[in-house]
Amino acid sequence: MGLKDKDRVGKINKSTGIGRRKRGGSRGLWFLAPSLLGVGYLVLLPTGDVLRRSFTTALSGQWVGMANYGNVLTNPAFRLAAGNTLVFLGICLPLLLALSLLLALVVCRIPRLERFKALYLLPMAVPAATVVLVWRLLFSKQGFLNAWMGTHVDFMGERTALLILVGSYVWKNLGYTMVLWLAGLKAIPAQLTEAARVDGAGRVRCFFRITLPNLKGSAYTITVLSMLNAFKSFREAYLVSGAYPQQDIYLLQHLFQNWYTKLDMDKLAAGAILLALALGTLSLLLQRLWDRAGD
Amino acid sequence: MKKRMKRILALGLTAMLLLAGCGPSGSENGGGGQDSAAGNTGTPGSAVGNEEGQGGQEVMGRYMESPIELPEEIEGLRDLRLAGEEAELIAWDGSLYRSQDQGQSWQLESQPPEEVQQALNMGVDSYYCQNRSGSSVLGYTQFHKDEEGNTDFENSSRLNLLFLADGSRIPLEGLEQEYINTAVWDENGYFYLGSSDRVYRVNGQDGSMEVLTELSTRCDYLTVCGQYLMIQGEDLQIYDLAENKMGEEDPVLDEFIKPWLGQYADVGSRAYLMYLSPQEEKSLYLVTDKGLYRHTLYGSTVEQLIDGSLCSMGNSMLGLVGVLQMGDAFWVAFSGGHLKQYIYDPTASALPENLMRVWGLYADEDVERVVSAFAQSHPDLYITYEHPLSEDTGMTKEDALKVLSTELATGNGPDVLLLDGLSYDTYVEKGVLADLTATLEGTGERYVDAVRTSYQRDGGQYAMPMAMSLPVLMGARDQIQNAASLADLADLAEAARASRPQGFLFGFSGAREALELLAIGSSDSWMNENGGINKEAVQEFLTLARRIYDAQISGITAREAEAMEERQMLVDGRPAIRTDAGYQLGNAMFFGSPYAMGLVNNSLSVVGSYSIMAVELELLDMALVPMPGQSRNMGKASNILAVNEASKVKEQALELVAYALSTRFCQENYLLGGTVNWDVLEAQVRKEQEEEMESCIGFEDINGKEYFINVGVPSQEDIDTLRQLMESCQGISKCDSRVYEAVVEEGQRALNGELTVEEAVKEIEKKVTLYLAE
Repeated sequence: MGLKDKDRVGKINKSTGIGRRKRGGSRGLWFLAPSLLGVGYLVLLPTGDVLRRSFTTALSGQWVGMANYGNVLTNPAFRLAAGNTLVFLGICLPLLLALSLLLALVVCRIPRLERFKALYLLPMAVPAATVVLVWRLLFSKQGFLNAWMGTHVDFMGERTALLILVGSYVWKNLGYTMVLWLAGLKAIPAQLTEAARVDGAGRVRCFFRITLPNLKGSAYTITVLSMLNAFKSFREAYLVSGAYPQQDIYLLQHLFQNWYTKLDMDKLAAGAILLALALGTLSLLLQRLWDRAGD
Repeated sequence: MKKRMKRILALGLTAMLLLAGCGPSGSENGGGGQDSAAGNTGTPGSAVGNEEGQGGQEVMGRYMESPIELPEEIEGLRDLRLAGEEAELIAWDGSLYRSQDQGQSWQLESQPPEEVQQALNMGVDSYYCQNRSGSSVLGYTQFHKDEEGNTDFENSSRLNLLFLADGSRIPLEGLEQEYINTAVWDENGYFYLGSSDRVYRVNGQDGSMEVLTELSTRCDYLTVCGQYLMIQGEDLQIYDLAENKMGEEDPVLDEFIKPWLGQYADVGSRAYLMYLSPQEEKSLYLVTDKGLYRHTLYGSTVEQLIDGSLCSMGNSMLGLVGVLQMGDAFWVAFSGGHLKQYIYDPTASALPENLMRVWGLYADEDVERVVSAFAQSHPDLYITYEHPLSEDTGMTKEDALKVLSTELATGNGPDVLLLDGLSYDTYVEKGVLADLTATLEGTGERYVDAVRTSYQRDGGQYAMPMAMSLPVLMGARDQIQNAASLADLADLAEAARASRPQGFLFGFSGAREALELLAIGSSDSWMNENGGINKEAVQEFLTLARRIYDAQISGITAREAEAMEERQMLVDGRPAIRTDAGYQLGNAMFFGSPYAMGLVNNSLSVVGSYSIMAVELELLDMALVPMPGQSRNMGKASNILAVNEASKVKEQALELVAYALSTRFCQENYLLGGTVNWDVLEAQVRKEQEEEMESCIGFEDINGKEYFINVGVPSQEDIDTLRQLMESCQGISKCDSRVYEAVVEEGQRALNGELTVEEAVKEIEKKVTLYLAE
């Protein structure tokens, strides 16, 4: 920017004054209005309605205070589903994050592999119905796995169901998460690593002292996205095993859907609020953790 | 100014974006659910797509139904036709009636010869057709009498006859023993007769006959439409009578009529009608249970003029006989002796003002008739009957329930609910259902107490089934009368096997069928009071069921097993399980089993269905007792009616429920599913005794030997047995469907030896624990 331009900016600022700046602010509000209204109508209002329903009876709408929350928290099906969901997240998230980061590091080192980025995203594009078909072909009593092993086991009806669900989730999200890590890795200035190497740092030290700290911003986003994607695994589980699958893969979504079918809207609303609170708290904790690590 | 305009434009666009898609989800009168069916509206002869015009104005105009009075002696109809300006009716007994004053009065013109009258009054497989000049063709089965004067059903001959106007009788040569399905006449004095593979042309003057055409499929109905003869079987063929050769296909008509082709109606009536109007060249009118349609032969459209759900056409039990156009009105005749007139009323709203939705998971014929009959007496109501799982929608039960939950939660639920397959307790607990106490008490009719109390909760009556059935065991009286528990039945089966090492003991075939039959008298005990599963009861049930099943299969020969497999009905490739006592008795007779078990309903009608009560059990040296089981004397309910508390037409919905359970409805219709109303039972007995309808069921056993059993007016003894059964009913079994399904699924594996009983119980517990915990 040359001196002339600077002058011109200063002049404009002087001539416009505070009043003009205020008008500029309200103009921004106008631009925001459609999306704000949309979010308000489609997100905030329904959330408010769910919150209201969580304190009332299902259809008659009578106020029951915290009774619905009490019912949900003492409900054995909710406890089982919440526990299973936590276990699933606890296994899937670290596994996916670690594996995808490892693969991203490998791909980063071999630039030729980066050309196949689109291929890595392919599992995300496979429809759930197709995945389910493959599951059935592989894991049913008459499936390929049984034929290969010479057994007659319903893998989806046994404790192996959780492993299949975890495997499916990791397979589906690995490429996508890797691409996200790759973007984060590319954003790290190469000079930093080069300088460290010159100072005698090894690869491992470079990874933990330079790469990992610089991936902090990406890691937060990737973790939250992966967590949200984990909830989508319900589709496959539902399509394979219906509303009542093997106990280990009975997730919160199964329960919520069954409550909906049984018109247990009160329990459903309370359960949804509890889940939202849990997810919100988890996200905040993660952010806090990241911020603290940054300090 | 320019900026202001831009702002206004931006605001407008924002508002449009936000409001796009908002608005009522469907028209108040259910227009959203109608496709071209809305074509019943508009001006005569035109189809209008929507109830509301572009300006939001209500579209007016509808054909309104009104009855035409017929002479009292007419008990049924066979044909309706035009003779110039006059209308002619052929009554059930073959009498010809004529009206010269638009149906205000009817004169008896002629009666057929006595042989015709006798054949028509007796025969259930007869056809009759009378042409303009008074000649007629008749076909019937003549049963011979034995030495004692009783009808010998095993000796019969088939007759096909021509009667001239002067009464002379000419046997149709070449048609001896030929089974003719249908007959029509044309204006040139010919008759056309359709059989399983041919269409014959018979000269109405002398009985000379020729084969008009050979067919690759059977012919169900024939209709003369001007120069064309419509041959209707599994497909539609058009024969050009003027050219004397097969005509071209009409693809639009073919496509339209496809769902009705192959459908049957009662004797003497049709499932659908075709009629070529003499007033309009090539205008073909079609009458079906969906309404009246117009199609120009070889044209490109079919348009609906009258919606069947708004009039008698929607009642599939009425049986269509004839249709004609009388001036601007349409007349439609029904086999039961009803003649209806449809006149266009330009001042009537195109669709009735109020919508009432009747919803059930599956379609039921009795409910269809209730809806149709109720709609006729309530022209201000547009009633729809939705049954998502009966339609080819690919919808699962869970999908259907989710949709229902959404509708109920948003206050847009169906007005009348059929709770078959749904959880009664859930819907009561959520406050979805209206109290029926006042409605039922207001009718003054007597309902079976045990059934009523089964649907009472907290002093309210929130549902009431239309029908009930009761599980029974059939066999030699001295052997079965002491069997009270499932253990007694297991002992009985094992003792029978010991004395009869080979052959079937019961009518059931596979493990699932055995379990479903045995479960009828036991399933009510599988849940405990806390809503959990009663493991001990399930274990005991499976143990005893296995003993009974083992006793049955241990004596079945390879030939019998093969015969059983052949006899098994398949639905979607899977064996269909039928638990009705009549079917099970048929199986028992086929295999020569000494016992049978199944569900008996109290429908006394021999029309369309039969109950074991109508079968003369004593002819088989058999008797029946309540089914031995863990929860003896518990009945099974069907068509469980309830009303949505939030219904906008709650009064009418309650009225519909009362009507469905009423004696009035029963008197006007045949009930297939039975009743829970003592007054209806009495009325049915009177009706059956007055009508004296009889039928004959033919059986063949595994060795090919034929048996015939008269099914007719139940004897006093049968009626007393039925009353005792109904009185002994302790309530309605309400075993949860998921628990029931789990027991039957895993029980099969136990019966087949894949699992031990203990393992099966564990599996059942595993399957339902989550469900019960929710």
